Amino acid sequence: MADTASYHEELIKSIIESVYRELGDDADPEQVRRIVRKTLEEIENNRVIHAGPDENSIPSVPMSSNRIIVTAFGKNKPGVVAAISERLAQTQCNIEDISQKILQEFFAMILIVDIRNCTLSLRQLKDELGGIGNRLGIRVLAQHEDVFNYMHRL
Amino acid sequence: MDFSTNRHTDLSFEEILQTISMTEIEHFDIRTVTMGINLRDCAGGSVGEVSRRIYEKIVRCARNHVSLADQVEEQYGVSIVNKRIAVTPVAVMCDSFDRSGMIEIAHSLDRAARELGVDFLGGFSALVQKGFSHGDRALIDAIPEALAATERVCGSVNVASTRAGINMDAVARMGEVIVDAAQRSADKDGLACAKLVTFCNAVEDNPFMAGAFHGVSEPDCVLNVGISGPGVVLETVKKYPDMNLQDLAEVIKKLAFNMTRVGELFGRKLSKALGVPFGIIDLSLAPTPEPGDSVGAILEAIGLEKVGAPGSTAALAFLTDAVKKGGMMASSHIGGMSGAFIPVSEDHTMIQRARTNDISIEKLEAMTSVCSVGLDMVAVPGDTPATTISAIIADECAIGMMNNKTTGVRIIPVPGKKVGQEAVFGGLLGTAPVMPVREISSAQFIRRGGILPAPVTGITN
Repeated sequence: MADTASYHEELIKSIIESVYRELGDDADPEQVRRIVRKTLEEIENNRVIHAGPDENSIPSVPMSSNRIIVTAFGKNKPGVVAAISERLAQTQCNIEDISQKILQEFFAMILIVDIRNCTLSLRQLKDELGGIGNRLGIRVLAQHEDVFNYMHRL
Repeated sequence: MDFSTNRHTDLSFEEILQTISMTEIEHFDIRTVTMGINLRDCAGGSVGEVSRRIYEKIVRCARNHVSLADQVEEQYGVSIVNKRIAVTPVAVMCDSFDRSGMIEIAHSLDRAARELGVDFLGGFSALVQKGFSHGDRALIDAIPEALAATERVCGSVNVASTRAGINMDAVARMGEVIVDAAQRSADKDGLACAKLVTFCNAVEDNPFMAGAFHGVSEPDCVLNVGISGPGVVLETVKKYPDMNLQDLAEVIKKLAFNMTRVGELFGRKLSKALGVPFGIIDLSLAPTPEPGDSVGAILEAIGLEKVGAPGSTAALAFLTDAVKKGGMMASSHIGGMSGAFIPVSEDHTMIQRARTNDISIEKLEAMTSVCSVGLDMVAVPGDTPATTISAIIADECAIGMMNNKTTGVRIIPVPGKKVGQEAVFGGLLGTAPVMPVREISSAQFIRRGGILPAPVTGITN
């Protein structure tokens, strides 16, 4: 999700945060190496999605913003907001706005999410949120904000 | 809570849910992103040299076409059904070649399409509305073998226009070509004919197959987008069974606006990433054989018991007009056909109605006077005379010529099959019930040949 200019800074920040989260004060050199490798792989996967299968020869599709809209709907039950927001936080996604409507036992929730620092690719994030939805028996969808803005505004 | 007062976005809750509903439930998709590639700079020299140059140019220009379109799909969560290529009409580029040279070029185009992973490549085409050049004749002679022997190449021949009239010699020849192409692909129910369109007033920037080609006035390389969305329109029309027609037109216009805006987003993003100009958005509603993705079903939801009933032409005119008006506001790149396609074999409801004989070729012909193109993917008995097929083409050309619109014929005389049987093409080409054709001869009319003169409407200067 990062621009090229801010890539290194964000990479380092992301690695430090991952190491800190996993180890706390008990860092061990082998553990650090493992986590750094894992984090780099995640970031690399994330870049590949945006740069195409071979970034040396294939340009990427430019995005207008770093935000997605996450929509969840289905039968109302406890824990829906917690489950989704927890996973978003774990993947360094920032919820900018949240809104929901409840009609009898059904609900619809919409979140505006900044994915600039997301540690997953959009595909991975979509799959994970979809998986949370499946476990809770609801639908959870994530789409880039551009689609909504273009569809409804000139 | 409404987002309208929110600093983050001015989208309302309802607008977000509408988008989700269209993309996730009603099968809204972008039907095609078609890259147009000029091949005139590949002309000159031997067949082998030209063949190599066109292969290299197509692969060079379109090498990222499929992968970048896949990325756009992935990022925005709306699928692009087809990624295709259209090239300069081969007869224009290879005017000095004979029939065998044209066939070799078709194989080269087929290889390029395979290499790039695109299912159809259009442009094995000739423009003969006013007469034939050497290359035009060679290409038309080559069509049956070229389309039967290749998998992905599509061809078209423009035989008429409002300004030139109808080239009846070409119309007569196309009847024979279609019968020949069907026989050469008899083992596949005449599949070669499903890749061949005979046009009046063909457009140079049509992104839809089988009639796409890259017009001679187009830039070197361009990206055209075809939207779709019959499912979205169908679901919405069903919600308003008693609404009057001008209000229903407003509802359809808004949907067409929404859908076209997504086409605009995809066209802008993809053309920028590819580094080629954004050409046009074609606003056509294009069905697929999937249930619910049918233009015929929309006409029925508008109020016909079955498509083919009296009122079908009026309902289609209403639909086509509303789609155009909504789409025009959404983009300044409108072009192509822009309307509604009514291919029989590619539309779930049309297939059903053709099976039960509720829709006839004559009713389809009337409907083509107000749709995007014309008689599309219509299967007829294998023993239909070539002159009858030519006469059907002449009728369509007359509708297009007199009304200053594009019309086309994609007809399949299915070898060995009769009314009541079906041609099965599979995939997006679907299944075509063999429809009855009147067994009254038009042979003498077709044998006259010559040019059917252009109408007064063509003399507008």
